[in-house]
Amino acid sequence: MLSPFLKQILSMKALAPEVYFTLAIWFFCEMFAVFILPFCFSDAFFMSLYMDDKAKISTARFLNNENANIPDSITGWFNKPNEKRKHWVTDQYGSRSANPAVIERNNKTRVIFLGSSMVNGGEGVANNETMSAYLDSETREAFNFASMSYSVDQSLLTYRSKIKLFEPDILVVGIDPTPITGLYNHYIPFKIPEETSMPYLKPRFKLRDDELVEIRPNQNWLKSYLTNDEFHHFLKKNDAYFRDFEQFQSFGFTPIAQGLFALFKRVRSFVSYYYAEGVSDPLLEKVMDTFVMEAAQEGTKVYFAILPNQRMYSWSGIWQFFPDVYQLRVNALGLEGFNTIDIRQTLIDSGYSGNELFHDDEWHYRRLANEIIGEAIKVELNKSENVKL
Amino acid sequence: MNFASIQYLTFFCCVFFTYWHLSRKYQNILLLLASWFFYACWDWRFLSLILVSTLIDFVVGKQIHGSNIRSIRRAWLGLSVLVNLSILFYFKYADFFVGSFIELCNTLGFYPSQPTLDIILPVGISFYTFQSLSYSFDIYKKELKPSHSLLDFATFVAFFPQLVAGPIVRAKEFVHQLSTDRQFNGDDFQRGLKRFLLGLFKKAFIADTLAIYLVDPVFAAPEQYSSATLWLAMFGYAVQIYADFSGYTNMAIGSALMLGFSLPENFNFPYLATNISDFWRRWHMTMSRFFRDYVYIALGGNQKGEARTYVNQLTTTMVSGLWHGAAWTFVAWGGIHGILTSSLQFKNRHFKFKMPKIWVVTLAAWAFTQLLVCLAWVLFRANDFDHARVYLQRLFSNESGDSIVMTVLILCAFLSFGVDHLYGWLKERGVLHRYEIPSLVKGGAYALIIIFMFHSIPKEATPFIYFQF
Repeated sequence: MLSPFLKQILSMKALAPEVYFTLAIWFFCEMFAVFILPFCFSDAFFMSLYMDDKAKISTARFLNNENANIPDSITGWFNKPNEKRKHWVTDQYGSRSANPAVIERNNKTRVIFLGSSMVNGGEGVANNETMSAYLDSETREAFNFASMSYSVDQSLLTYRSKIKLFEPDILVVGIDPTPITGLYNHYIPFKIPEETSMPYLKPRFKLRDDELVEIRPNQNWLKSYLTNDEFHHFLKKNDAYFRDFEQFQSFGFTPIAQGLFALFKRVRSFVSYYYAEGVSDPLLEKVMDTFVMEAAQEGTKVYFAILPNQRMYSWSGIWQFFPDVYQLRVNALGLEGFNTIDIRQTLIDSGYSGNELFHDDEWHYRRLANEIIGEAIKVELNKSENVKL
Repeated sequence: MNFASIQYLTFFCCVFFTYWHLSRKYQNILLLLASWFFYACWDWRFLSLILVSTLIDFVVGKQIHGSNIRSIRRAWLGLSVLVNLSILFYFKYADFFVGSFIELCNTLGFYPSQPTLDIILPVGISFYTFQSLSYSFDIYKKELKPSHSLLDFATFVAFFPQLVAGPIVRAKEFVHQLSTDRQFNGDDFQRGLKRFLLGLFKKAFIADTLAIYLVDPVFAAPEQYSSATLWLAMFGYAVQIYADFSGYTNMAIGSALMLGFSLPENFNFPYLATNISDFWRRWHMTMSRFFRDYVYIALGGNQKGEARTYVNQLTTTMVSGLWHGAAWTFVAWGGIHGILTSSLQFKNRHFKFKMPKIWVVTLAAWAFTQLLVCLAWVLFRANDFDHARVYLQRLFSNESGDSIVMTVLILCAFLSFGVDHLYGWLKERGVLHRYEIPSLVKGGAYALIIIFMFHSIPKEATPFIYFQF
């Protein structure tokens, strides 16, 4: 039995015709946007809507070498050499080290850091406050070649193209909290729509017959990224996140469709956390394995520092009911025989709170955390019998 | 909980659907609990202030009504004034007066130590204390009988649609609505929903777009921008503050209407005014009414000679300026409006010539009035007198400097404001009554506005300007 109030609501066409027609036309627009609109326009048209003004400006600046990252034909982008920012600088090789990097070897043990902005330091710390800086000593020199938003495959390509030249004794590679997603992505805005300051294009690997096959996009495509069909076709074929762009074409234009889709994505994300998806992955393990093998051929030892964000560090609230993805990852990669460093345990042992260790973005480390991490890596390297520090 | 947020929409839907399934008594209980919850979402500790104000005025109202002895009635009224204004003064003005006193001492060569009070300003304190106070005043003036139900009175003081930024509702126009049965009415629901949508559009699109892309950057560093840009930002702020506050009022009136209540109007297209008195008859009408009835008339109004009338006007507008914020810039803003209003009255009293009623003269009067209003807004928006001085100096100095790119969104915001006031202009001339727009067309327009808003409102929402008052 319906209450009189609900009966009145249901007979809205007679009682409140403007509300009725508003809802009816709105519903029609929602349906049209979801089912018809994607067939009416090309990918190029939707691309021009997908990329906001900030992303368009950032792309132009990137192509003009005006950003902190410049185009790189092998890795997609790399740190701009001799860049001076408010808190940090890069040297002639683009390294963000406490002391400028040099190619010529000396009698010091040489440690090179690779990874994403978590290793690089981001905007919040100075060069001498990054984790690599705390390894510098009379017997050891550390260079920081990490770059913003790098995934492990880009670190491998950086090693091949730039780092071998420096003949490091040790490589420390940062494994950030989401190490797998980047391995399946070419175009950053598809993976992180809100990342408007880094609309860059990266290479990726595919696994074929247990071998890594590199898929390298043409960086010139970025010059005509809104209209270039070849570029769009390439992404459709090779970027796992192209489907997110396709979903935007259906669900990105009307409030209810977008709201429901955002809810669906949130639920999907919780489910993937619940089933501990994203702990490890064959492609990730293959890239790491290749890293270790290629470095070993040059006499270099590789350590993988497993880096937590603030949520992984605290793992409290609702998250404590979900599998501890960080710990599972540390265990899984350890079982595969990689030299891993459990950074979270080190930070927990320090006794500091998450707010003292992490910046407000809950992702990048403060100086204090970098110092603790640097010391932990130093201890780990000292343990190594093969390396005399 | 901001009106222009998903949280409020969810909260309102829950209240709305429960409310219409209850009897009147339980409807009022629900409204009271919902209102307290709504306020507690900002800071639950300040609920105690509303409770104190409510209890004092409920008791005071009964005591005033129950006594025929003037001195006793005055004493009870005095208690209400003392409690309400003490709350207001402590939380809103203590820092300001202590700071001003110390500055004065410093100027005179004394250097007392500066105490750090760090008092948090409770949201909407100026609105609910005035509302509660008006109840005691109206009973004292025998214009209202006291409410017999504490529940009804508490609901009147805390009624969530207008709790934090008005309109300032007087007890005699609202309490009786709480004691009558309310039936769901499709027409009220439709009108309420339309008012809410219109308010949301004004606040979330017009006000926020102008604030984020034009006004805030220019006012943050006026010395960097060209004179032309400063003029644009000044007009932008005039539109922003109107869209922000009238948007809030529309959402408050719309929310109340959907719950079966009628709230007084607060704005009547103020930028159509052709003189300064006309402006104040159209801008924040419930506040103007409050100050007229309880300050201006209490001071003697226009009954004590011409000179005293001007003094009363000036005092009233300066007090209303101080009501807006604890800073001398607000007092000065009120003073400017007082001088303008008094000047107009002086002119009308002593210079009896009639201006010809031709459109050129009306247009000139309108432009002159609005220019003065906009220039005064600079003082209202400025952080301090120095800031206002720099802004006004550059405004008239024809200096070069940076400019703001007039994006499509900024143009659309100005255009939407223009359409709003054009509607008001046509409405005042009775033109709109001649045309009946079909519901289908109106429904289509509303649906498109909803989708347009979804795409164009800035991600960085700003709080309502009048929440700070």
